[in-house]
Amino acid sequence: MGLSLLLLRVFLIVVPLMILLEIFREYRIIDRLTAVIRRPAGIMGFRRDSIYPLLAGVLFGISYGGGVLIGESDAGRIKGDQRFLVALYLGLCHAVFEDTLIFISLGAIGVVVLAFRLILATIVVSGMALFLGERNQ
Amino acid sequence: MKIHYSIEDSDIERKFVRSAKTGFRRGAGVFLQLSGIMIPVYVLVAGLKQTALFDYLGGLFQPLMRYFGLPGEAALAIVTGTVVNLYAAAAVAVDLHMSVRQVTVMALILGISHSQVMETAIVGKMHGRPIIVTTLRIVFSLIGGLILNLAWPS
Repeated sequence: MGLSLLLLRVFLIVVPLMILLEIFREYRIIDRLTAVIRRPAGIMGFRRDSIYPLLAGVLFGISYGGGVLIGESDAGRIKGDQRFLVALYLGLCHAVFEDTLIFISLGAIGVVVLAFRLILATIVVSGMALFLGERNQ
Repeated sequence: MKIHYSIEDSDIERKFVRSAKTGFRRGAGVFLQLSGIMIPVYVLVAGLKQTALFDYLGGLFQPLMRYFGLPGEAALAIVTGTVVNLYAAAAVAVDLHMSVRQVTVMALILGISHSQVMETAIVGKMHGRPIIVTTLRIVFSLIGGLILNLAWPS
């Protein structure tokens, strides 16, 4: 493929994604989406306040979600093992648009990678939450 | 009412244009930063290919990479991605001539575990138990690669 084509593809991934992120911020779309995943996230062991940083990180990356979490944690809204569970989920699965598009641009079947990461993170975090006793609170 | 709606419309439009402009500016900045990583990595790998060291490293990793159905050279992309980031890994992997199946297995390993220097630091700042998270990411990336290679008929 060569360097110039790769750079072109990266440009076509990064720029629209940053525009998408700004649009999500401007219209508070992550806020609205938290309601959609509240139930499944709750079943996995996430508390209400953990869901926004989790979703922000899964969609736009560990730096973005982590940044939100650090703010919430400093404000005392997310504590202890909840921070670990968010970090663990995001470690295994984050930046789903960006990463998947990079892999597709390299010739991979993106949906296989995406589905595997989502399922893996969901299983591992559910197990960890159960182990830590975070599920029945 | 009509006036009210038109004000709403133009407000939504203005917000949209503003976020598009900000996003484009930031995206272009990020792209320049990433180019500053990808171009040197690509040039370095292209130079390495001219030497015997490239084949030597490929041969060195071949016995390990076989478990993932990957060529030995794929280890260079995986190590680069694990330490630096996915864009650097892409600059290494782009000219390795792998099959769709192989690129997908490599992508899964890299998808689960990448940018460990930067992301472990972020998890540390999150008080998210960075050593456990990073260890689990590496372990599950290898398990994931093994499973996908076994489950996917070649």
